[in-house]
Amino acid sequence: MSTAHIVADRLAGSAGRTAWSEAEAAHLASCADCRLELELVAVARRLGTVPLAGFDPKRVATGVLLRLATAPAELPARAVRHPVRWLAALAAAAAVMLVVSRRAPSGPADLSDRGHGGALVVSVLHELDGLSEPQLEEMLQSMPPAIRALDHVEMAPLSDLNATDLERVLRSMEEP
Amino acid sequence: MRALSEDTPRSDVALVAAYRLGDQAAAAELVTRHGAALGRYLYAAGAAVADVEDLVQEAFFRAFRALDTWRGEASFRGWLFRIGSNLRKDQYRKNAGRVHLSIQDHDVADHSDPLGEAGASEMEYRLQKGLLGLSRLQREVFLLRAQQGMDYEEICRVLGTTPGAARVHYHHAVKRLKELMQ
Repeated sequence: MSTAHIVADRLAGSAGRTAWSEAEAAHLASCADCRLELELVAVARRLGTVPLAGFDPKRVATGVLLRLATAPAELPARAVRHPVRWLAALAAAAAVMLVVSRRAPSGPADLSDRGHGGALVVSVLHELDGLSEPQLEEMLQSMPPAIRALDHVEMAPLSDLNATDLERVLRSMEEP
Repeated sequence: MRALSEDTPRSDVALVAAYRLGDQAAAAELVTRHGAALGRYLYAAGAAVADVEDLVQEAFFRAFRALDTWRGEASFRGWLFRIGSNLRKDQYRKNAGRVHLSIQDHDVADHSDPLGEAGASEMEYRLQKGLLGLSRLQREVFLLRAQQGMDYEEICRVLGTTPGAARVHYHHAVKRLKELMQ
């Protein structure tokens, strides 16, 4: 690297605050271009230290702390990026539970009790509300084998539900 | 070993850790420490002076809200400037690339000034005007390097570019600014 390049690199990094070596000083004395660059960097550095009119860091700090104290809790980044996916996962889980409760006459007692199917679904949906997205996904991943283990149970998409069942699912999701 | 004086300023990392434990004063200290520099940078990058305080506040708000994603690999200052730079970039796009050149009191030549401040102000004005003629990346690389004294590695983290590209942008910026200053 030439002296000119070294000087140019150090000009920006140090804005000339570092002592120059003899060779660098000699180069600066003889090179108008480098001196102009030195001046340019010094002006830029000065502009970076002059207080900005009307700018009050204390007011900014107060504003930031106030906003932090009053802002609602932030959703996990993945949930924010995929709100539709999150809702779809919840709806799919609800639909699966509804189908299980309707179509599992010989399954485990807690799932096959047709008389309590509706209450079970609502209860499960409320449980789902408290789950995080990873927990929901984990649950969904774990469901197909469990469902396959039951006799006479079929998976069905939301579109297979009749109007009454679909409304039950949606109402359950909307309830607090 | 001599104990650290109570007046020794806490590092950014220590302040961030204190804030995460609930120390609001630590957050305020970070704002006081870096807010003005970020404001000057955003202003020189073309933000309207009336918008600077809002942009700085938004940058800190987002930074504090996203502290869990800050792994400490980059300096807090560099990370904050990255957020501020992105906010400025969004604003730049919304304004269809318009940048502002406003002359503050300290930029106006005072002809009664016997110490040569007028000359300095003239240079500052010419530099600010010259900066507006650069591309956004040239302008921001130049400001981060020359005004903020960042090295190319840190500039890359702030602007999401490569060291080679940053050097090229800086070189072109300096070349054009020199032409304007002569």
